[in-house]
Amino acid sequence: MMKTKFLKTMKSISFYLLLLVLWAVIQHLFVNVFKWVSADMFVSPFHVLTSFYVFFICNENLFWSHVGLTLFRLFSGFALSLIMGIILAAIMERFKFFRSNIRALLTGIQSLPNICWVPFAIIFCGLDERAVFFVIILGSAPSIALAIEASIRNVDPIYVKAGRTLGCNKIGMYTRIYIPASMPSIILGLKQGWAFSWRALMAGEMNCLFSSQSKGLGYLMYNLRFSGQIDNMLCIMIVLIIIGMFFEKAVFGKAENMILRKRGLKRD
Amino acid sequence: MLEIKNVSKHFNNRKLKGSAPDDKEVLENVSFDVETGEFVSIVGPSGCGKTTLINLIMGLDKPTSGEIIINNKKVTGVGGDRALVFQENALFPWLTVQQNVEIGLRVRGLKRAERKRIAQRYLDIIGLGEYADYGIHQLSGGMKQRVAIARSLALESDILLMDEPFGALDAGTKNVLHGEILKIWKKTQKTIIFITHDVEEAVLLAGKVIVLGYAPDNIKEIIDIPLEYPREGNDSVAEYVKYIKDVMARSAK
Repeated sequence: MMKTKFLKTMKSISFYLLLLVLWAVIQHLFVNVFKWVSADMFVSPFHVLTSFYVFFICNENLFWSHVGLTLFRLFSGFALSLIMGIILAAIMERFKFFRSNIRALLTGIQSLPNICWVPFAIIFCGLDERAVFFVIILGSAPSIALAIEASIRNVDPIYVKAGRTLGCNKIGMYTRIYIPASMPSIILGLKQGWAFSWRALMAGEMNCLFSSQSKGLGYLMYNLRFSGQIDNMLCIMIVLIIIGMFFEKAVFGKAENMILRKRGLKRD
Repeated sequence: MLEIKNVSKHFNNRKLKGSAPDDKEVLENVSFDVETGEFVSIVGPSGCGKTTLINLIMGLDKPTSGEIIINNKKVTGVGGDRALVFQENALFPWLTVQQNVEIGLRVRGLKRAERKRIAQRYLDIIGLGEYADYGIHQLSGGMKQRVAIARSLALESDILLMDEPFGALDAGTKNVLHGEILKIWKKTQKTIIFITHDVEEAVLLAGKVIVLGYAPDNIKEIIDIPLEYPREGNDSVAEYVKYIKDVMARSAK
């Protein structure tokens, strides 16, 4: 067990080292040997490492405050979307008469690329934090609501029948049958909602924040385009990718595995 | 006493979208009584309304006309005096064995210790006392059906409805469970209504076999089986089986 884990880690490390070496070699060939592009355009991994050093070590506090605020917006934005999504799903469950209409409307809103909310959000909320949250919620609450509602609708009727014979009342049917039965698929929906929140957050941070006091990785990166600091940009993008990977794998992946394993739907 | 009085059930099935609903009678004027503590088996070809009848008795569905009366009270919905064991595996895979058995008690708001005590008692009765903390996916088909029986028994209802509970099991497992269900019946003095399409199973278990057929004349015959238990190896079993099969064959014409 310990050994396989160690080997797995070594494999990952060597994979990324290999990528870095490949990058360095190709960059060297393109820039220094063939002279196809300038070193300002195609930066070497060493440059990016340097900007990591500058960001994380030299400007430690400033950079972490950007990361921190972005993560804070992500968590609170997702939490608000989740609450909105649950409320919308509950409305769809409660008012069956309008359900198909609400579903169609939400599907439409969900299909709208979240950057489309930016101009509206800027006018409606102003050029600040509130616009960012507006974009996140509009970008991910519909997908969360639709996922929860679809998951509940797809619960095996035999569980519904069993729940009724065991004496569950209306609320009990939800807390004891519908929600636990559809948990694996709800988690998938939340994962998707999270991904939508993350994309919407970046759209919001890049387009809704203009004050010089503004913070956030999206805002920081968007402003680097004025000074053409491509190495710093890449550094921030790598941080964004790492954040994305961490939540997809470590948080949602773990939760999913735990639920599936408990039901015997996944082998160890 | 359970009284089925002139019960009819029709379904409106639309064959094609937009076509006129066609009123399909599944049960027509069905009447019979089941005494308290009796073990009744209902046999019949598939599609003759066995499960519909069970759903009506359970209160999951309402009859089109007629009424079902239990101890002088009309059935209007699901009630704690009845429990149902399903044909398919209807255990909840998100709960452990014990949690599955406990769930009906939980719904009723029983305290944790009390729930655990009752669940353990019924798990012991069906011989799975040591499997309380197992996941449902870790059990064999026969074990799952035993847990399903324990879950229904834990409701401590007067009437136990069983809808082809052993339909998916192999002969050996079936035999063992037949013995267990009779033991439970004697011990708890419950009224049991057992649906099956296996005539031999009906004759081995029930004191009374109701042969059900297609509407409008659903009840073909009601046969008393006054044999001693255990009935395995009793020559009369084969005679009853043959007689009931003849009744079924005649009514199918």
